[in-house]
Amino acid sequence: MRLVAGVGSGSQIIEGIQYCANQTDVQIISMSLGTTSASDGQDAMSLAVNCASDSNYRASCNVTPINSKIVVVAAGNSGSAPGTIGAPGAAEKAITVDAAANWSEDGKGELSPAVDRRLRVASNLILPHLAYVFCRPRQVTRPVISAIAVLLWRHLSQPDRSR
Amino acid sequence: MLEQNPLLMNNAAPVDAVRDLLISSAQDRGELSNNGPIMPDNEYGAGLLDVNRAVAQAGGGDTAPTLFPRYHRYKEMVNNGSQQLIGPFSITTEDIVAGIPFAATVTIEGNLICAWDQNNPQICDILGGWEWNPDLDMYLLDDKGNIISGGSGDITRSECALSG
Repeated sequence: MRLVAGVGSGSQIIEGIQYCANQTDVQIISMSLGTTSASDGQDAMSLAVNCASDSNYRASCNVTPINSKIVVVAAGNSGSAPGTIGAPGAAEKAITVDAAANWSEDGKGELSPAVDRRLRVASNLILPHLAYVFCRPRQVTRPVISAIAVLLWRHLSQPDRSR
Repeated sequence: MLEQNPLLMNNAAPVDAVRDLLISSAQDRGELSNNGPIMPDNEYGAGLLDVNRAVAQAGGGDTAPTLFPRYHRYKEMVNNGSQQLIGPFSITTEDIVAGIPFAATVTIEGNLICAWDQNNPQICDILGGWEWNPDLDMYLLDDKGNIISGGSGDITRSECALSG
């Protein structure tokens, strides 16, 4: 779904997260957006991500999601220094992703902070049968991770793993 | 009898289960990297995502790290002085892994033209004949320089771009 065209407000983003959180057939929310200012993960947008992702947060949520979603967010382009990830990537429950600067075994994040005291999965990917996938441009990284996350979840939640 | 995946401890939220899997299977890099648990840092995060390993772990299978491929090559094409962009690279025996084919991909900036008449492209709407400009050829040579395969019609088979 399209929330904004280029630039939008935080309330628009939150409304979109909440809308997706209440869709039964939505498994994953994937967003390539964020604030330019850093966040400690306690802003309204990040909290909306937490609400969509984990039932433990629902007591403080304005909207109760139908079921828990996997939320993947782009890490942004503000550099690798601590405290440079904005919202909603700073959300505790977000899987915030970054791309690699080059094709190498040590390919580090290009412009985005990778951790910032939270998980920031990043860099080159290794996919089944395809070996590594070098995601460039960076915009490719997030949708790839999103697809992988869905596949992993389906695999994990399959009761009979022998199939 | 159906069993819950043991990786889903205490009915963990999907995002936690997936994230834990991605982290535990990642290959640690960066200044905090060691041989122990993943130590994320600002540049590398949890490290290189080893999705192959993550999938294996999700299924309770092999958890050995996936080797970083040694056969990747990247070549910027250069102008050889005659308006041709060339980008040869060699594939050595060290690059070849038994049972794994190698592939070459060319990314080239250009546009579609009508081969019949560039000034009247509607002809190609009727007859076909759209092709990518500039053209590209790819050749696979043996160590003596003999062409094993290649050309604009052999490897590429068809034009590389789609119209519209």
